[in-house]
Amino acid sequence: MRAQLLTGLALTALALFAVPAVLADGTLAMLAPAAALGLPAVGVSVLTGRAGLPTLGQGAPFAVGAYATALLARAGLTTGPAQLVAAALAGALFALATGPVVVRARGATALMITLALGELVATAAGRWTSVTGGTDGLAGIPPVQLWWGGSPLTDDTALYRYLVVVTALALGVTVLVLGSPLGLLLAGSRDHEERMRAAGHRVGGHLLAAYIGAGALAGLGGALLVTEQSYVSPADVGFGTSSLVLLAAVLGGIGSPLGALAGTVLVVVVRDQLAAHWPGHGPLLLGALFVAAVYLLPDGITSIRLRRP
Amino acid sequence: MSLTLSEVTCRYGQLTAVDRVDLMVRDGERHAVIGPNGAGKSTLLALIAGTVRPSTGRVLLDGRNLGATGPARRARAGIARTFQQPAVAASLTALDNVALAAWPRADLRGFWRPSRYRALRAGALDWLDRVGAADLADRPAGQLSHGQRRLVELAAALAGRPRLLLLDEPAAGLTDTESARLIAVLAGLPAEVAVVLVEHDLAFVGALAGRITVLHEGRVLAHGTPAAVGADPQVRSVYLGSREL
Ligand SMILES: Nc1ncnc2c1ncn2[C@@H]1O[C@H](COP(=O)(O)OP(=O)(O)OP(=O)(O)O)[C@@H](O)[C@H]1O
Ligand SMILES: [Mg+2]
Repeated sequence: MRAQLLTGLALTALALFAVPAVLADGTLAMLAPAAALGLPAVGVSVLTGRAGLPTLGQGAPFAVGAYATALLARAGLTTGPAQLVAAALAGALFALATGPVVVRARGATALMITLALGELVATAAGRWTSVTGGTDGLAGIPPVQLWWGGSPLTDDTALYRYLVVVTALALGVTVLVLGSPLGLLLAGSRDHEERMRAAGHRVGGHLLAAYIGAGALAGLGGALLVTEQSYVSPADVGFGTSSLVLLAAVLGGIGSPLGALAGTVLVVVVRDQLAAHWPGHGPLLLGALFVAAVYLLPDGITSIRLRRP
Repeated sequence: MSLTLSEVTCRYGQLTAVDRVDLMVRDGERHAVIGPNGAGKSTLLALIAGTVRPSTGRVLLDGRNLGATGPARRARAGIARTFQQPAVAASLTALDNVALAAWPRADLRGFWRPSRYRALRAGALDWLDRVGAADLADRPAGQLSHGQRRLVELAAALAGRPRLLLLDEPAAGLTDTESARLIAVLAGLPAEVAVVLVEHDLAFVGALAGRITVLHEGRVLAHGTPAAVGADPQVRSVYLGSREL
């Protein structure tokens, strides 16, 4: 775990300083969507890979976090940390409310239930016009401030660094929790649920905790989305998002949080850049990527080694 | 801890796996349940552990009806078990398997803290050592052989310091040395621990059991001391044949 944290730290520094030095401002904007989707993907990776609870509905807490942030920002709360706490709480509360249904299910049933929840929330976002702005979405969101009384973050590089720092912190906390005995417990429940119950563990409670954690991560991602594009609409939070983050988590080697982030960058670059050269074929490219990943890299892109260990 | 089953029946559809069984296991009693394949022995253990609910009848622990109490709560009350098919968390090491199993009933409960978990691991290593599996501690349980998993699972069950221990064929798949060691470990359990042992290996049963219940087609065919059960002509014809208890 220490090695993982150090790698994470090194990558964060790289992302913070080396990447902006090499890439032009416009290219940085291309990585920004990966920041918003990265944390939901990390949550999916934890839930599906570590806890063994597959989910196709992380778009829902993502939506809750995004709309909460957008509404708060429009109401004048533009301080970054406050927005982040509010969004994480919103995502976690959504998970707490829906969790009791979800954590009873396993396998394909869990996929269907989370899928339905995701669709429900996306539909609500489209219909509840008075609050969400309906399909038009919420625009005119003021830029975020780093701290109370700080100046608004409008510069591309500064904004990008903000996204990187928040993502790195959330990822660090996730890795720490997974490295704790709670992480072992989740793995044990995934491997042999009956064994864990026979020892006296409240498996359902631990799964609920993991689901709430993933909800908070998705909520944070929602806040970053709003910060990054100053806008949110139902199109940002629907099935497309849920499946994209699942794809990213699978690409990253299911169960590896850092891998899920790497997977997100790959997915976003394929979706936004390659598809731009080949209009209309984005989903096809992603589908091909998915099939290739499942067949060629069962342990994900982070399992690629240059040398044998 | 005393266990009473009163008129317990368990049906799977048409099939009656356990049929109006009465069973009494007193504090510290070492009770063997034997019988031919499909007699309902594993189902009986599942009924006690709470993974299967009786169709009719009651399971009482210290006189209290367990009713719909789930397996995790029963485990926290002091019922530990091993499965016929040895159950381990495959991706975790043998040591983590045992330490996690010890956690819910450990004195140092409370918030998960790495230092507490380290203490738990030290105790877990001790249990692995007692069953003769200390050298497996750092191996992922998924890589272990059938017999090795059985030892790890047993260490996990013991590490929870149970008051009632349910063992489903613990000697199956073990070498003679391993099973002799197991007998020594089980004989060395604190006197107040009650054990319900399902086992086909009659030498193993004979070495441990103070009382025996014979199941046949879900019903109790005979029960009593090993000598009395061994001499029962019905038990001889249905299960023992020419073997001696
Ligand atoms: N989940 C289940 N669904 C349907 N039938 C079952 C189930 N579990 C067990 N049975 C049936 O109930 C009967 C008793 O099974 P059980 O496993 O309790 O027997 P056993 O005495 O443990 O046998 P063995 O010595 O082979 O382990 C068998 O006929 C078995 O096929
Ligand atoms: Mg059996």
